[in-house]
Parts: sequence; structure tokens; C-alpha cells
Amino acid sequence: MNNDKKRSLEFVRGLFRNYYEAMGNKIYQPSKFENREFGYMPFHQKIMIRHLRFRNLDELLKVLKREAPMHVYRSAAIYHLPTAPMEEKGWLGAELIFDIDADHLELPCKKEHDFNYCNSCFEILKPDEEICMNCNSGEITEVEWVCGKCITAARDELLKLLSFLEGDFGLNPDNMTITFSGNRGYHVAVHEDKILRLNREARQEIAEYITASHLDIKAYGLSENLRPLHDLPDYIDPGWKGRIAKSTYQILARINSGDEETINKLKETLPEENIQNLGELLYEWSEKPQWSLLNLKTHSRGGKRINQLSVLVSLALQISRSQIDTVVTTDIHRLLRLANTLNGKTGLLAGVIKYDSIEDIEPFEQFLVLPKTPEVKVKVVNAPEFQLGGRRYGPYSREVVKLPANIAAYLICKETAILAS
Amino acid sequence: MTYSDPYFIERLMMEFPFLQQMREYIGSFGIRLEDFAEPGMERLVEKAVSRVEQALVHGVRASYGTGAKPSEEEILSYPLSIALVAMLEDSYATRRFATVEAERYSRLFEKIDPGNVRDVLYFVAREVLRMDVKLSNPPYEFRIHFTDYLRYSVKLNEPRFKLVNRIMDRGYVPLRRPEMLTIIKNALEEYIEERLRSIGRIPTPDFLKPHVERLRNALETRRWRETEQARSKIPLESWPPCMQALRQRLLAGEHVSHFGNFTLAAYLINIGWETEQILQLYAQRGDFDERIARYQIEHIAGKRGGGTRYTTPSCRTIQTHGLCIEEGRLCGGIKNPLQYRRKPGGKEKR
Ligand code: SF4
Ligand SMILES: [Zn+2]
Ligand SMILES: [Zn+2]
Repeated sequence: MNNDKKRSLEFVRGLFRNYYEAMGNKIYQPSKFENREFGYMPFHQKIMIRHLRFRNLDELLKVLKREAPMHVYRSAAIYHLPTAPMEEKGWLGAELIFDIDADHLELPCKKEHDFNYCNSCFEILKPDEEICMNCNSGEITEVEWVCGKCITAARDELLKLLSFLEGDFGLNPDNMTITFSGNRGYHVAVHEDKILRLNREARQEIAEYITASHLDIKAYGLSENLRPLHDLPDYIDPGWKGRIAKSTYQILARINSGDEETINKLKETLPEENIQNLGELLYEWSEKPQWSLLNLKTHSRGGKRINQLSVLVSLALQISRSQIDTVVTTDIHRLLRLANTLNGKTGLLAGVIKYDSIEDIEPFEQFLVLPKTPEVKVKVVNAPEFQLGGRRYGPYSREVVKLPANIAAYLICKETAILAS
Repeated sequence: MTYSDPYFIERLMMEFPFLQQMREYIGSFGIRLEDFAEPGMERLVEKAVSRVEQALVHGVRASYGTGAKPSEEEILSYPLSIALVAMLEDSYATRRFATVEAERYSRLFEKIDPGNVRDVLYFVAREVLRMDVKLSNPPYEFRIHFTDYLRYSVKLNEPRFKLVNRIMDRGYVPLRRPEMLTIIKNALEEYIEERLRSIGRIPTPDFLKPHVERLRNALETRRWRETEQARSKIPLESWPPCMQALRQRLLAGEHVSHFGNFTLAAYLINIGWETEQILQLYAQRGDFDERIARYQIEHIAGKRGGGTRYTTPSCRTIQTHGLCIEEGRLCGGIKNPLQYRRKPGGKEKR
């Protein structure tokens, strides 16, 4: 690592240390503390230190103050022997965990704000360029940016997730910990007794339920040969059955109001005159879904024979599933970021969010917890315009700027700035 | 009247003797083996021994105790059967016996007077298997908590048992009667196996020694036949390269995808390996969960679920999952790994 970078990270680390020294015991304390595995990623190293066990929060805090790590993790699982190698830990159960990351949502803004740059000449490259076109160097840094749209989209997925957990799974919000990831998303950890012993396969089923994968619409009576009316999805039905009815109605409403995104998506498969007719069906659907009116065989734009009903329902599934990262949910040994610690990719706090304040929270204001002072001069390689702590900054492109400590830390953590000498 | 009402339970027990048997499972720790040494008990002992023997040798095709009303003898000899299985101290025997018993019980459920089935299933689910279950209205007569549901449904591979294809209402999954029966059968199997294990060691009293010996022989016979079958199978050097590679990775503890596991298991079953042998191969891994692996393998073998045995995925499919070796150049344009024919020397077999 070159010296400027090292010095910059050491500056951030100092801010982290001050924060942990001043914060007292605000760190989140998972239940069965002594049975958890902890781990952390030090600054200046690429190897995680894990298989740690602490008897209480004070012991952990001591380490955080001493090491001021870049990232702090704890196991979702509880173990008989948290410090043993994985096979010998003695798995006793694990919280049911969910990770929502804007990066997985394939948002159009990603292309606009993510970028790469060349480590030797600082040329800015597109996200998919892996060789510098200026100096042919292959040493590239990839920068993933986050914007307001990213965070809003992630929050929408979070809200959908919570409606699954509460409505379908009947889980009590009091037994959930919801946190901002400190970067681009949200985490939910459910610690209800009943779910702790669920094995990997069971968690896979839960993840598939929430993402509607392998959902067979025939199981809900929707095929070309419709089941009798009383058995078909209705708005009042629980689970996916009701959700399918409600979100199909939503699709019809969107078509009716001329929503371009929906119409364009449908245009990929359905002929245009069909789509217009669909918008008109909204009224017939107001009391009760009228599935037979959608059940129409037609030819897609590519000439393939398709069923209009299944096209609509699969779009309905897409808008109502929650796009969790299924790998995280099914991993019963997963380490996840310890809530209320600092995220070394941003310097923001991975803070706990109250269930009833999710919609009001502005993570980029609320969780900017590092101090503004001292102001420091940084060389910024590149940064789209961004908003932090209620103020706008940038855009910057290969320039030296003087910034408050927390903003400078943000850019250094994002690996797009270093301290100016 | 509630279902935990002792009077109700007594009545149920009287009407359905197999529930009585199930209760014997619970009480069987306390049996006095010496009682069976008394003169005149030979018939009961023989009954108990042959029950275990049949289960070991014939598996679910065993034909004992299929009548709706077990005889007095059958009920009385039952605890001894269980003790005998424990004396064998063999996990294979335990598992096999549990499978046979669960199968037998679920056949008995089908013979109950239809008017009572609902109550009996509810009783078994709640009082024996300790599930969080509620009664509800037809066609979904039962509602069981998703955690209980998932524990057993993950072993079933019909799409309709997937959670995403079920209604989920505030944590409960509504089930029709036959679906509930399927879940109960799977749960019973686990339950019985657990009970058998928890009995622990029972020293064999002298009067039973010859009988235990006889059962051991039955067990050995069974095992020997299985390995005998295995010997005639395709030797490792003649497996197609993709399968050799999968096995290699498995043994090295490297990550093998779900599809990879499925493919290898399906291949092994199709070249005639028994579940036990495949399990032994998988057992080398740290993340091995025998029960899950067993169910999965038995699924692929068609012993569970719909009863269809899976064929090995085609080379094309294996290729799309990136598991084919050297784009099939070593395999001479075959379509399925089962068609691979090559001797260790590299010469075509056929
Ligand atoms: S061609 Fe078929 S058998 Fe040969 S390695 Fe590829 S997948 Fe395996
Ligand atoms: Zn360059
Ligand atoms: Zn964005």
C-alpha cells in the first residue's frame, strides 16, 4: 500500500477510535452474547480476524477501542464453542437474517454513478473497463457509489420484506432487529425462539418464498384451465394468493394510468392492442379479480404463442417479491455486521432503525456520526455529486478540496480520495 | 372437551391400538425384559424377533402388522422389538426399523374410520409429535406452524410442497388431510428414530443372546448383499471425467454446488450404488448432515416423493452448469454421462 493511502486510512482510523472511545456502550448487544462468534477486519489488512468470543460488551468494547477496526462482525448463529474451528463449534441455532443491498437491485442509476479508475494515472473508466485506456495499466480501483435513488429502492424492498415477515410468517416486529448496513442497504435479523433451529434447507424455502422463486402459478389455480371461481386468488386471501390478486390489480391500474415503465415491460411480450384493452379491465376488477377476462391466448411480439394471464401474473410477482440476497439468508454460519458499529466502506454508522420509523429515516443524515472537525485537504480522484448530513458536495474530478473530517472520511473509505500532503 | 383431556386420550387409545403402541415407545424404557424369559412367553419373543428381522431384511416391504387392529400379541411384544433394535447398537438398523415403522403407522391411519381420521391425526401431530397445529375447516382441515411444516416439507420434492406454493397465513400453513398425513409420516420416522437412539445401550440378557445373534446375521446379510452389488459396479477409473472431478472435489472438502451434488448422486444411483454407500462418500465432509443427505439421496433414487427415480442429467445440462470437463472432448460425443464407456487404459469398451 502506498504511503499516502496508508496515512489517509490512519486518519480515518483515528476518527473511528475516537468514536468508539466516546460512544460508551451504545453498541448493539445480540442475545446469548457469550455464544456468538465475533470477527473484525483491521485497517491496512485484507484478512479478517475471526472466531473470537467475548463474555460481555465491555470486553468487546476494549478491543474496538484498542484496534479501531474497519469492520466489526458477529455471527447470526449461537455456538457451544464460538472460538473453535467451524466443524467443532457446535451449532445451537441461528437468527434468521436478511440482507437487502441496492447493488443487487439492478437500478438504472448504478450505471450513472459507479466508476473505475486507474491506480497509476487516475484516469476515470467505465465500471466494466478493466484496463486503463490511457496507460494500459491493469491496476484498477472499482468504486460503487450510492445515491438517494439507491437508498429509496432498498427501503422499498425492506418494507416489502417486513410485510412478508409480519403478515405471512406471523413474526413479531419486537423480535426483529432492523439496521442500516452503513452503505447501500438494510439488514434484518429475526431472533424469535421458534426460528432459531431452522436448518439450511428450511431457510432456503423461506428465501424462495420471499423472492417468489419457483412459484408455480398453477398451484394458485391460475393456468389456461382456470379453477372454479371461488378457488382463485382474491384480494382478501392471505399469503401469495392475496398478493397475486392485489399486485395484478396494481399492474392493471398502472396500465390504466399510462405508466411507461409497466407498459414498456409488457410490450416486450404482448401486442400493443392487448395492452390497451388491459387498462380498461381495471373497472371490472374493482370489486373482485376477474381472472377469466385476462385468460387469453395470444401471440407474442416474437410470434410465440403465449398466455396473457401468465405474462401479467409474472410481472405481478416481480413487483411484489422482495429482492433479498438469498445467499445470506441460507447461510447458517454467516457473520453479519454488528449493529451500531462503523462501516469502513463509508465511515457511516450501521445503526439500528426502529420498526415504526423506517419511512422517516434518512440514513445519510442520521448515521453520519463522525465529527465534522478538523477540516482536511483531500485529493479527490472522482466523485459524482452527493448529499451527506443534509449538505451537497461535488461533483469532484481530480481536484484538491478542503472538507469536513466526516466527509473526507467518506471519500477515503470509498477509495476515491487521499489526504493531500 | 379438549384434546389433552385424559378421558379423551384413553378412549382414543382404546379405539386405535396403534396409538397404544406408540405410547409403548414412550414407555419402553421401563419394560422388564425378564418378564419375557418366563415360560410361555416364547411366542411373544418370536413375534418380536421376527418383526425386527423382517424390517431389516425387507425394509418397507416388510409385511408384519398391517391389519387395522393389531393382535394382543403384537401389542405386547412391541416393547421387546424396540429393545432388540437397541441391543443391536447399529445406526443402520435403527434407521431402517424407524422407516419401516413410520410407513406402517401411516398405512394404519388410512384404515381408520374416515370420521375419526381428523381427530387421530390431530392427536398424533400435537400430543406425540409436539407440533404447533390447529384444526380448521375443510378442505384445509389442519393449519401447522411454518417452522414445523418446513422441518419435514423440505424433504419432499413435489413442487406443491414448496412453501412458496402454499398459503401462508400469519405463520400457519393450511394443509389438506392427505398432505398432513405425508408430513406426519415424515415426522414419525424422525421421531421413532430419535426415540430409538435415546434408549441408548441395553445389555443383552442371556436368554435373548441367540435371538440377537440371529438379527445380527440378518443385518450382515443385508449389508453384504449391498456391497456385493456395489462391487459389480463401474470402477472409479471408468467413471466419466466430470463425475471423477465431482468426487474429487467432494473428498477434498471443496465447494460443490447443489446441482453438482445432485448430479453425482444421480449418477451413482444409476450405476447401482445404494443409499448407504453414497452417504459414506458424503459423510467425509464437515458440513454433512446425514439425515438431510439421506432424504435427498432417497428422493433421487425414487424411494420417496413421487417414486420416480431421477436419471442422471444430460451432458448438455452438465455443460451449462460448467461441470463438464474439457467440453466433452474426452468422452467421444456422448449425450449422457451414463453412456461413457472407457477402460482405464483409454480403450473403448464397446
Ligand atoms: S461430455 Fe458428458 S460425461 Fe463427458 S465430461 Fe462432459 S458432461 Fe461429463
Ligand atoms: Zn492509467
Ligand atoms: Zn443510485
